[in-house]
Amino acid sequence: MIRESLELSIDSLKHRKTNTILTVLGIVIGITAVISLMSIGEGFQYSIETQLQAAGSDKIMVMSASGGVMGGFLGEGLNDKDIDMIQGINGVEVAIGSLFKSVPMKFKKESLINNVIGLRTEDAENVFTQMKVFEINEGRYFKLNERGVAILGELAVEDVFEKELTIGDTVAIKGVNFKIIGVLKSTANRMRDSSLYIPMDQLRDMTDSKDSLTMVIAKVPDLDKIEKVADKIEEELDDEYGEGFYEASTTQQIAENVGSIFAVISFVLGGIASIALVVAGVGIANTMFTSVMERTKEIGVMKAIGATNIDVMQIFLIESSLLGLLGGVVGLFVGFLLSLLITIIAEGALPIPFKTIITLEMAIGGLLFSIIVGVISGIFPARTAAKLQPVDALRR
Amino acid sequence: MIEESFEIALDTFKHRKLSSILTVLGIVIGIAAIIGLLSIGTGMQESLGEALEGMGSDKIMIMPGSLEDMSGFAAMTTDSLSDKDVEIIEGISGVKMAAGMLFKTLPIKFDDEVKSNYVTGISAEKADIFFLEMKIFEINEGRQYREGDSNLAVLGSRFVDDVFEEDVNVGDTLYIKDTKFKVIGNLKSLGNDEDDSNIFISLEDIRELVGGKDSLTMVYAQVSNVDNIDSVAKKIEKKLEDKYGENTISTMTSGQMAEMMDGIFSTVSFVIGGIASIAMIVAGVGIANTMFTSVMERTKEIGVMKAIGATDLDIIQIFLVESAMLGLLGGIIGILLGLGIAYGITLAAGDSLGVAFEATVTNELILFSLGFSLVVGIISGIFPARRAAKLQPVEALRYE
Repeated sequence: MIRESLELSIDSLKHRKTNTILTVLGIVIGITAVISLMSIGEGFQYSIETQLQAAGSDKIMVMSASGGVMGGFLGEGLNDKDIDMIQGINGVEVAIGSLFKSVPMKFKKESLINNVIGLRTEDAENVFTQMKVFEINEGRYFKLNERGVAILGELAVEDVFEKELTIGDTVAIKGVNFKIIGVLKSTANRMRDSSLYIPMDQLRDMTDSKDSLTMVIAKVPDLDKIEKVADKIEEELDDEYGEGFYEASTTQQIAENVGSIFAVISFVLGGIASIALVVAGVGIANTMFTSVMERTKEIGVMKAIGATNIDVMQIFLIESSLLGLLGGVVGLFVGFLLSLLITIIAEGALPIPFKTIITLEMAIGGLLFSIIVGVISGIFPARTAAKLQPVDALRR
Repeated sequence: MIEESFEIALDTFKHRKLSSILTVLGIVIGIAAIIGLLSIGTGMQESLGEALEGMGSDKIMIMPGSLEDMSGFAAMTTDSLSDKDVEIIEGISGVKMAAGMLFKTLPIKFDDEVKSNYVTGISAEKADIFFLEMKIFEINEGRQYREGDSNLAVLGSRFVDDVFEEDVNVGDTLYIKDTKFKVIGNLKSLGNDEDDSNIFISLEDIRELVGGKDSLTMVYAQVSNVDNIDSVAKKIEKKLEDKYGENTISTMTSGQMAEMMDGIFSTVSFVIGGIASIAMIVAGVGIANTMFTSVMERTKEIGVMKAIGATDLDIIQIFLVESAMLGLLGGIIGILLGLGIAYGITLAAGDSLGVAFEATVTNELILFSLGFSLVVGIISGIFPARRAAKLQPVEALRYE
């Protein structure tokens, strides 16, 4: 019976070609829109995760917990004692502190404000060799208690001043001369890469920051234990400063948090695009009603020779779900092409690694959605068909 | 002839009632979605605009850093302006007064609960300026601090009940970085959550807490004549850059800030409206579909019309009028439904949001929606109408 219904449906779809094509086209447009928009959302999620993963999944970032992204950078309550405390926790291989500031700087008569990151010279060995976040590409790193020297982030070489900075140049930071002694490899983070790194003590002197820190980064080689270690660090800081004041997050957790924002955005955009699918569903219902009307006589004959109400409903439901599925398959394909195109365009235009991604869940979800829309849109027309009285239907 | 086309179209709608209703429904959904979604954007834009207006159009914000490459981060962490700069700014002709602020995130303890929160320092000597003359902050309960006061705090409207478990009332005591502060007042909402969850203390107090000497995060200036605010802003920028170097200072006037906000909202509305418009394309395809069916069903009729002398143009007109009416009808009902949705959103938001918010449907949006639905109707009708016009009368008459 199912097979016969299928054959009947295909016949009917072929018979009314223009109608079928236009009906399917509605679903195609809807699914294409949903899939390509969500693939953009997934793409941003991917690009953030790659950037964070580049810092290594064995890191824990400790910073102030307040007020979103900005709050963390404004809070400078951590201090050198906290580095020692974190360093002492079981499972932590090394911990380093950093202080983020934006300060005026001048190079060859050009002055501007740029980010400076302070790192303790006594930690230099840990920072530049052990952590594997800040790795020297050219030149050297700080010696113990060295002053007046600066290391450039990868992008700071070209992007900060009009003129390119090179090792040996002197930059005036807040009026104090710093000689450039090294350049870092990329840290996969735009802000860090465009910063200048100077000895912590000097940055603290220049900015009146006593012994405060913006962030402590800890390295935990044992990935199985890293979340426990992060919890432990947070506990210790809670005891010291009060509940919920500082947050220790693993790279993985940060990636998930940021990723979830993009998940929400792509969900909202996908939702708005789904309105098109509702409209397409109304279109299927319309086509099905027309189909029922055109085949009233046919239905009468079928019922007269013994087709049950369920048989008749099945015929029309299969037809409408076929319309939905066909639209879903084609829409998925067009959506895939469109997202490829977006990747090509975005690669040239965006400064971050980006590619649109269509997950298996999205593809399956899209197909299911299109079938469901087809079935729901078919229910009323199919019931109308099933309820026809054979005698009345034949008389038409 | 146009009149007759309308009558024919109406007859068809009556004849194929269900089909017409479903076709129109597509447009209704599309237009209602566009209006509903955009009304939220416009509403938010307006409540922000009001918040900005409350600040007055005669303010200039002065921050370190350049606006282009500033992710907000640079300005907030620099603190490179100083009390001297405030004097310099006040000395510039056209500036009525200027006052500095310092932002920090600090631990605050209340009722044994510790939270890290934004703290803003405003000079006590200039507090009157911020609170009374500039009307940047307005007192809701209690009073503001005055010159000579110390260890007193004024709370943002959200700080009162959102930051700690217990509400913080006027007269309560809390600890900022272990220093005792008495709450003497709270503010009316400033229109955004971040500012509203702030706690305000005197500049002298916050400098004591963080060990900053005379640094400031931001300076507010008020001009005496709004007409030349832009040139005053330029003068301030120039004067300070002479001191700190080029590209180190940015200024933003109230007008520029409003423009920036408008720009952001327009972009967001454009994207969301654009995505919602995809539904209109699908609805248009639906109209085309219905029209093709209609042409097919009336093949014989068309044959008769042509046989008795109807031109191709006449036939095209009949079907275009029909499809345009489908679109327009959907547009009108969609607008009504959209207005209903916007009203519902306003009701729902009024209860859940703290700030005044009203989903707003502008006249432009209504006109645009009407035009859009009409255009979609006409475009969708073009191909079916052409097909109808191209029918050969003899063959059309023969059609069963």
